[in-house]
Amino acid sequence: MADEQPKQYDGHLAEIVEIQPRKTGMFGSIIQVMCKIMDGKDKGRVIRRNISGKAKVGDMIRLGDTSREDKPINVK
Amino acid sequence: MQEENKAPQEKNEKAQAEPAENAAAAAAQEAPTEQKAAAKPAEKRPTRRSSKKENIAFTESLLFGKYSTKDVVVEDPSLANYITLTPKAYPNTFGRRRNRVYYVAHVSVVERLINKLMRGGTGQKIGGKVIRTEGALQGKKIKVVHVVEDAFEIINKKTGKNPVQMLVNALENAAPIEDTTRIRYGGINYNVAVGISAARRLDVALRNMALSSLIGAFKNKKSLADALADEITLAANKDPTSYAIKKKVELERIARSAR
Repeated sequence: MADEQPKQYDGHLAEIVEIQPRKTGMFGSIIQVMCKIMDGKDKGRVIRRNISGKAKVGDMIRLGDTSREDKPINVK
Repeated sequence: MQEENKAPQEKNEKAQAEPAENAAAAAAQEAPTEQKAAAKPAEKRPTRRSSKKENIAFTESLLFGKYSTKDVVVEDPSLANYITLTPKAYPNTFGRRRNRVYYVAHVSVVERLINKLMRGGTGQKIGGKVIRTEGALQGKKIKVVHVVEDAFEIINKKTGKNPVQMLVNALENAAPIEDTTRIRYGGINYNVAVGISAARRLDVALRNMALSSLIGAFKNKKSLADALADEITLAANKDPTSYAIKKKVELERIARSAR
């Protein structure tokens, strides 16, 4: 494996910095996180994103698009 | 009483003194033989125990007793935290960490693949057909362990590479990065794109990998092990005919349109 070139994966790598305590989605399956982008043109920016599945601070995720940012959750 | 006590002491002293002189000459001959006799069993015991320990230390523990996981590299840093490669001859943790948070992060990937394969069918119709496994596999872990072992052997014979590395590459290629969810605004449902966490990416990839082998072996001459081996090799080479990669591309295409 060492002879081959490093692999190209789609998306940009981002690290989870903070997790919002409130869940969203129709069935409460979505959580909102603040994540720091590790590569690409927006490197170093911290953006708010909705993600599905279990996550904790320090996890790495891949984002298809780094330009958009999700809305904060409104608590009624 | 005192005299009586003294008397035997004196006798003892005399008795000890006489043989001591005689023994001094005799000891020169006997002593080395006694030392050798005492030394031999003392040497044997530690060597016997230590030899066992050394054997354990020097022999590397292998998966199925065949494949080492030392040189296996996980290149994707997002999956690297959740892919564990503890090599065992019989990959089973017996559900010991079941109730802890993130217990799956401590279970080896091979065992997780085995657990995903333990099912009676796909759960939904695929291509208009209800798909069942040949002999339901729920609760039959030993049977599935042998299936995976056979599949790894087939991969190793065909490609000559380490099957664990092939599995890791396949999972990296088959893990999706975007998903869709439903959100309701004023009585109308919208599909909105969301990201996927690292733990769920691995879950989805493993599930698709297991499902494809069940579909491949259904009403076919192929055995379950053959179908699994085919799927792993296809996904590791990023072949678009692989079921897991097809599913991933489809999921991401829908998500991209719903941003």
